[in-house]
Amino acid sequence: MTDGTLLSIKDLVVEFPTGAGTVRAVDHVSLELGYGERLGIVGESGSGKSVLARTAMGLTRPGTARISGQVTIAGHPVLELGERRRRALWGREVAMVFQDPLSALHPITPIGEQIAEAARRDPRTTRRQAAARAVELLETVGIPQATRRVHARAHELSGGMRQRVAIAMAIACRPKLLFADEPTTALDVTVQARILDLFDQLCAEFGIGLVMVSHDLGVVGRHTDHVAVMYAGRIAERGPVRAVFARPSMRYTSALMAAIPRHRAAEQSLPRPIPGQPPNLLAPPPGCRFGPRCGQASPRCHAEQPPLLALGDAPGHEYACWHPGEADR
Amino acid sequence: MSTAILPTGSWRRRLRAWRLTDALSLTWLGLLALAALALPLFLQLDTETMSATERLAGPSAQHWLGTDNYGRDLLARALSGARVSLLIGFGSVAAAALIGVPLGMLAGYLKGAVDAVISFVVDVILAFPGLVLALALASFLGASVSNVMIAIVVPMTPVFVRLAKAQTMSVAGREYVEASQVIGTRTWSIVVRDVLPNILPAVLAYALVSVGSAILIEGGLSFLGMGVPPEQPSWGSMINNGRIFISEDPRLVAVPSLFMLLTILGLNLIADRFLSPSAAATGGVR
Amino acid sequence: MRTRKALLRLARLAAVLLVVSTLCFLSLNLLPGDPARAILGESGTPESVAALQQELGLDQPLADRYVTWLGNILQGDFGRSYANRQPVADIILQRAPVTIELIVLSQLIALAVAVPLAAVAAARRGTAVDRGISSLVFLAVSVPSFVLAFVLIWVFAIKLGLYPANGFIPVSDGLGQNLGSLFLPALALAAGPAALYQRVLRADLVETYGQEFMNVARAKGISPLRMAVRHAFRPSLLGLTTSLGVVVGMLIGSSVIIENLFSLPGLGSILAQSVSARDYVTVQGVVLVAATSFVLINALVDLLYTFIDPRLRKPRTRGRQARRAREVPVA
Repeated sequence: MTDGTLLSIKDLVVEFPTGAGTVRAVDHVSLELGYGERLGIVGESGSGKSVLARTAMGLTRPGTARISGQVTIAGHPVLELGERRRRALWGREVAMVFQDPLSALHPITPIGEQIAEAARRDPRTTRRQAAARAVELLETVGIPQATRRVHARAHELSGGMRQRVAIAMAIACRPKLLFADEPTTALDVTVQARILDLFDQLCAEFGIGLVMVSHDLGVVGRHTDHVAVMYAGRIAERGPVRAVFARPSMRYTSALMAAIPRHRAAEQSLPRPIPGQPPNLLAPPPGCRFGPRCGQASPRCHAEQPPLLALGDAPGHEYACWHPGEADR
Repeated sequence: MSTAILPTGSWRRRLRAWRLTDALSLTWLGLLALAALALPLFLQLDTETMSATERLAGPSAQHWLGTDNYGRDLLARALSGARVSLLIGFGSVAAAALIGVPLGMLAGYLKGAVDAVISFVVDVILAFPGLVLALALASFLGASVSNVMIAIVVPMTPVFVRLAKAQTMSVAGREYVEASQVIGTRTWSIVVRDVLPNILPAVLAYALVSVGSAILIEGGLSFLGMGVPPEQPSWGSMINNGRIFISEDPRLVAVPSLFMLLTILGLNLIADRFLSPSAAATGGVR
Repeated sequence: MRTRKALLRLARLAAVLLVVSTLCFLSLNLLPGDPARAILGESGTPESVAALQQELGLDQPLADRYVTWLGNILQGDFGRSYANRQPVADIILQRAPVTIELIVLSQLIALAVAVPLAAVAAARRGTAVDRGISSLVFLAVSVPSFVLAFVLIWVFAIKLGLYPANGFIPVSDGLGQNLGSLFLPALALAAGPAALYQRVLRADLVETYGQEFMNVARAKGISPLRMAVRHAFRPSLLGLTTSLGVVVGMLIGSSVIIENLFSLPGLGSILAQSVSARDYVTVQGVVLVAATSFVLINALVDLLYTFIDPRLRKPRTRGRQARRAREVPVA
């Protein structure tokens, strides 16, 4: 893989003004991802992970949110570009797979045309080539009888097929970076694994860098190289998957891991849900935001916000906790 | 064939958001109603006195809006026309709603054969374009205020039937109505007690738009000489009377037109507070 | 199942048309007193009344007359106008093109104005541009077509002298002349429908813009123009299609007034004239034709749905949009 940074997020803050006050959905987040690497962003709903992904891609409209910080994708300073120049990146350098494939696909246009439209984002591609490419892409994402299926419409396909189509659309121009926003949440459990395998296969085959947003730490652990755990808009812990799984250091990560159902007989135990609710972002708690739900919280946790500290067991493994330690399982 | 123009459940919230235009609409309609209904009690509106010397006279202290080609006072005639228009507008809509809503509720609640018959009659009436049917009826019945009202009520009633039917069907499916059925409440009392209050806001909102439509139809009929008898000034007949003077003195057309326009606009603006955009936009019969 | 449903609808359509025609027949035959005398009014001599009675077949039982009448109608014989002895069918055939041209022209104008306004308003939803367009459109909804007609006549014909205020110039005298003579009336007829189209289309477009597939299109790097035209437009056409049916009814009504006002020799003006002249045979014929066309056009509009949105071909997938499409109360 090429050296250098594919995606760099520096000190990103995203705030949404609402009638009741300002919601800071992303709070000083910094992340980096190399070419061909896969990063998982994990958090509960409302943790800001989807906003982070959409803003990093440049999709969040400046009119609706206050954004500060820097985002660079393959050398392009996304947030400094106007809509027109961002559009030149979208679909070609960076693409996104959305959560619900039924609503993400156009209801009337045949899927082949939708994929061909994405393929034609490369100006060298002719109409005819794009149509052929649509068939090829459908085969790539594992849809049988592709020549016939290009004429199908979204509502005629199964959920898994639809997501495959959405993925085909996203990789039509071989983007360097692919965002996947909860790509399996809307699917049947049996289909989820196959879609995730498809992501593995495509990333390996085409060297695509992947940012997968998920609420499921288990999924992210099996299908990405790095993981970033988000809580209430902040990074709680991040690092190589192995390191984070071996030594979860922030209490929220431990709690998330305890919430993963286990199958191995030796570890058979019921998943433990995390007590309490994520904080109200209109009035976040002072100090560590996980404090009110944390069993080990001390007065310091409620007063001071813990910074991201390197753990030293693996490069890049950092956590934000005053009382790091093994999960109390 | 549903007609679900429920005010999106938030009509209370919409009610609170009054705007300047709403205040102006209410003021205009209030003044008009007052002038048309109460003024004649204190003051004889002189709509008929002709004057050879004051033909097509401009506004003056005596005639605030001037006079027409016979020297009759335009303001007095416009206010007298307001009485006819408001009477026909509110009267025919009230009649259409009083006939249409119970029928629609019956169809929506009982379904089956009753619904089939009522819906068929509705389809037949709606097969005639509104104004064409009104015109044909007015011509067969002859010119009088009550006949004009009949000519408007007939094409207008089916829309209320459809509206009430659709609303009733959606309300009747809800749990609390089913709960009433389970404890053995009589059908009709369920409809009246549980269904009626729920569909009322939508019906009232639609009725407001319909008043504008009714005034419009009356104007159209009078304009074609098929409306109220010539002795009674109405906005439509005033426009019709003034049309040949349009190049000399557009005021004769402008005054009644403006009265009609402001009234319909005001009604639509108020109805817009309750209605979903698509429904308000059609303005019912036109 | 689908065929059965289609057949049922067809049967219903036929039944509605049959009852409509029966009502037209009865309206003439149930005129108070003697229809022939009612038609001729004061001026009728005993001979002419007797002649008319025979022409109308009043000496025969009602049921027989109905069967004969219906047979004649189906063969295109609508009887003779009592005003000028012309066959009513001829009058209708002669005048229908004027009305059709007027209505088509007005709708082309209405769509040409409404579609871009709706697209701009939806793309800039919530801004001052959107609110400005909405206010203008709201005004247009509330203006009676004949009031607008007077404003147009006053501005274009009287003050500016640009267009004739009156009369119809047939295509044989030149297309430009012909269109010129229809321009003002078409404009007067266009305003109401244009406003309705704009409101309905804007609402549907705004809903479509809120859908995820529009975000997907944007994330694909599609330009706003292409997004509007290729992605947003077609899924937003259901309301517009429905309103087409409503509008036809509105137009048939307002064309009576507008044709009368601009002295256009169409179906509307002959209806108004026949009503005033108590020429009930002509009234009957025109009303029957108007109602039949209206019913058939609405049936066609129903068919159009499935072409616009293939999802509607499966009754199972009829969603909220499909239901909402039929919300507009028809009158």
